[in-house]
Amino acid sequence: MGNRGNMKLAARSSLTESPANSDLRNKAIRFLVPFARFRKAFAEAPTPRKINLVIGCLVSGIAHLLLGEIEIGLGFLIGYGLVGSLLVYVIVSLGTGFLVLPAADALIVILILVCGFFALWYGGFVKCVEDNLKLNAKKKLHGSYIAHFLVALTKRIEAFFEQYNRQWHLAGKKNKTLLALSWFVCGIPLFFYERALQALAFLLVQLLYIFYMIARGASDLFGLFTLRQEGVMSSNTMVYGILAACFTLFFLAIYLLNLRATLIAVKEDNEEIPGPGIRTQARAMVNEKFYLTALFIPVLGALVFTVIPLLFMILVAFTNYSGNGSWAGNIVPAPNLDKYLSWIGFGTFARLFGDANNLKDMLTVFSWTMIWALLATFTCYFGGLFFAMLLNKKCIKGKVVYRSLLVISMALPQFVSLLVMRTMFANNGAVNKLLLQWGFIDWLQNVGWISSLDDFVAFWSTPTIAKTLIILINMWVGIPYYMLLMSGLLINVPADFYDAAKIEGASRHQIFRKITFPYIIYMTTPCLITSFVGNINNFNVIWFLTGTNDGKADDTDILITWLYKITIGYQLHDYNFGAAIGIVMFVITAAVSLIVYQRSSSYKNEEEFR
Amino acid sequence: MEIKARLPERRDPSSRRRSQKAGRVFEAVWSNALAMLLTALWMVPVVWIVCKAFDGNNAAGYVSQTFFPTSWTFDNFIDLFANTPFLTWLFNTIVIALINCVATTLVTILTAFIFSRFRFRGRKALMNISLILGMFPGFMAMIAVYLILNMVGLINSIWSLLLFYIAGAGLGFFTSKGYFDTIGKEIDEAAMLDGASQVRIFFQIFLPLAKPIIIYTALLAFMAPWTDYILAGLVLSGDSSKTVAVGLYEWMSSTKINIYFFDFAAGCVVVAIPTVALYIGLQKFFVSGISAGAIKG
Repeated sequence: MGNRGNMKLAARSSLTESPANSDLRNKAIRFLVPFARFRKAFAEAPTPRKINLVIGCLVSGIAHLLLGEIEIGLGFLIGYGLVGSLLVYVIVSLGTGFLVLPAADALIVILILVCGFFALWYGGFVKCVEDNLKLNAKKKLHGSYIAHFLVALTKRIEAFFEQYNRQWHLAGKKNKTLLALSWFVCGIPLFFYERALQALAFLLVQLLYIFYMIARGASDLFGLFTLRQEGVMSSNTMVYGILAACFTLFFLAIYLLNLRATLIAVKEDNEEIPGPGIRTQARAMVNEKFYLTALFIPVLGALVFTVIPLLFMILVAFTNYSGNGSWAGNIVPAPNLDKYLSWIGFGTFARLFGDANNLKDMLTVFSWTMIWALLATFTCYFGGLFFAMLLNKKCIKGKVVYRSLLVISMALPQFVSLLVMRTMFANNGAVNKLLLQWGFIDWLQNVGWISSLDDFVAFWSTPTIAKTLIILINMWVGIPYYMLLMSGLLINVPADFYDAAKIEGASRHQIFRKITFPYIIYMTTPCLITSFVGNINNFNVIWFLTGTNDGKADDTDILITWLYKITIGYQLHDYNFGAAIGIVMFVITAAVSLIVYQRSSSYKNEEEFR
Repeated sequence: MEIKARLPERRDPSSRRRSQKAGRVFEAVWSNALAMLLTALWMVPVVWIVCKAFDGNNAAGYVSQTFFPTSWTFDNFIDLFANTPFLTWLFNTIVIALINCVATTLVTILTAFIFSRFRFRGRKALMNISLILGMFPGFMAMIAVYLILNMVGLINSIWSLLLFYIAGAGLGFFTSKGYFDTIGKEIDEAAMLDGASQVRIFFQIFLPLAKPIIIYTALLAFMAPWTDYILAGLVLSGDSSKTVAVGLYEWMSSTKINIYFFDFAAGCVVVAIPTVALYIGLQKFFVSGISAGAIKG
């Protein structure tokens, strides 16, 4: 509620303020703050840290390493180094003519890289200044997370053994036996302390694990390192190996839990504290520990069908799992994928960046992906806002009818509407027939825009037209969704904002610009980010409209459809190459959205804004 | 006080009022016209495919000269159900959709409830991890998913799709969590004081309160198998186990389009009927669902 009051105040004050673009000015000022703070930190710091600050200002990351924040420093350093060297590499190869890109694509790629480079530098710089200010104020830094973790781990292990020793000396014969037994059999000792539920679960896990390891797990796990199973190298080996590794980790965790639980049980028995009993334990699982029960399926599902495949993909990028026989001598073509596989280190990345054609394909596809994601997100967003404002007007009759009709385009399964569109705009499709009937084709031929041999406009094979059409058709698909979203939000704009504005005598235009629009932007920032990332990965629209089976990077291909082509689609099976591109792409999307998401206000005030 | 002083200036003589009225009429006219025009534009492809489905001129190849058919017929539908495996595909899709609708919704809503109401160690980490995992281009994982499903022996069975959907359901909790965050904590605190367990709070208090978001999630879950092409195309290859998306897409390949175009059109209409009906019927819940989701993402 406090938030509302603030916004109201802000709305009022910005209405009375001079029309200068105060928002932009605020942003610029906020951007410059760290530089002022840098001066302050520099003045107060002792000489060694003066040097540290200067280094932090020059190279992102090193300063943090020197201050002991190892992970953050490494993160910045690696990101900075990678993006920087990529930027230099692209510019140099453009300069030497190794890489030939259309001017627009080159510009966009360099622009994005420069932005990323600058963002990393700025982020590192801000963090370095903040850290030094903290040190100036005699506060302590967090330090290395891994080191903290290791220290905490050692402490816990020490504490465990200390407790274990003490209880061992206190324990009677029965307790000693059971305590010793817990090292060998999970769960069984717990049966003797009224913890049957836990005991059963632990025992079951151990039995399953032993059974699995004997049946196949051991050879699977071994196969992960050699990629060789029963004399054959196989891609399956890798997946099964990862599965076996995950199961082993899980079992280890259960094993440790078992040790701890037994120790606690023995301790309670020694000190004659009554145990919790089966009933209480069962009740806890549906009450204060309900999250353990409820999260079991989602976590297991995400592990098996998302995390393991992700690991697999990352590992594949470092193997020769590929149908491309022309590149390295030891690669066997696709149909024999099951037979041959070995680790090749960074070879795939060398192939991606070292080959002019591959690099060119990747950069052109990358630049179109970014343009597509931006345009697709913003056209639908503002289109939806426009539609919602239009249908929200009092003078429109039959709003329900319009809205329902528009919703049809959202309700149709995407493959239906997109394939229909594709047929309509085909060379002999309905649109071309209409153009022919109305005489436009003749006119276009006379003007010379299409050759006199064709009696159609080649919508899908002319890159610029195809790209424009894709954006337009995506608007057709996406605008109704945003329209519903925006009309939901427009109703929710607190009425007192409007009342306040009307009393101040604001015009409709002003009300929109100063109240409605900021409110909607504020509310939908997370949604904008999700939809931007969603559009980077928007397979359906591009594939159903212009998907072809040539396996090359077409002009309209975005990264994901290109990946689909070179991996699953059409038997190219260039998996390691696809995986390398996938990694590059994943890093970009994850970085962009994490940075924006964590900076967005609705994430920061998760607790406050409810 | 200032307002009163200003009022006389604002209320203008009749000439100004008349021009305001004219402006309002003008605005009403252009707004209505624009809305009508845009809606018509949106309807063109829909009308076209419906026309094709009833086009009697289906011997002439897949492109006829006219937008509206010259003769109308039901033959395309009869052919679709009698001579093609479409009915099996439709049945498969409906079964997957219904089961997915129930199971996925339950898992998603439950996960959202947990993340909204419980504070436990690793909660923030789990949420960030699921956010990152959501950005991972899903189909790159398909090879591994295929191999895992193969290991369980579910290739060419609709259960493989269901297993995959339900396993991924937990990651889509953000929208519903946003909605739950807006429900005041007092309600469950009161219930807890009365001695209700968390399971009871979830089933007896939260589920009724979260009706819009449940319907929204269920609707999306119901729609997923109608649209999914990548995994379904990879896992379901036998004619008897396909879903409509896979089957109908294959009819549109350049070798088959001439034979199957009118069946395709009829199939599209059949597929569209349930989905469109659901969307239009549940529009109200859908709006509250997406606006709740957008606010908290």
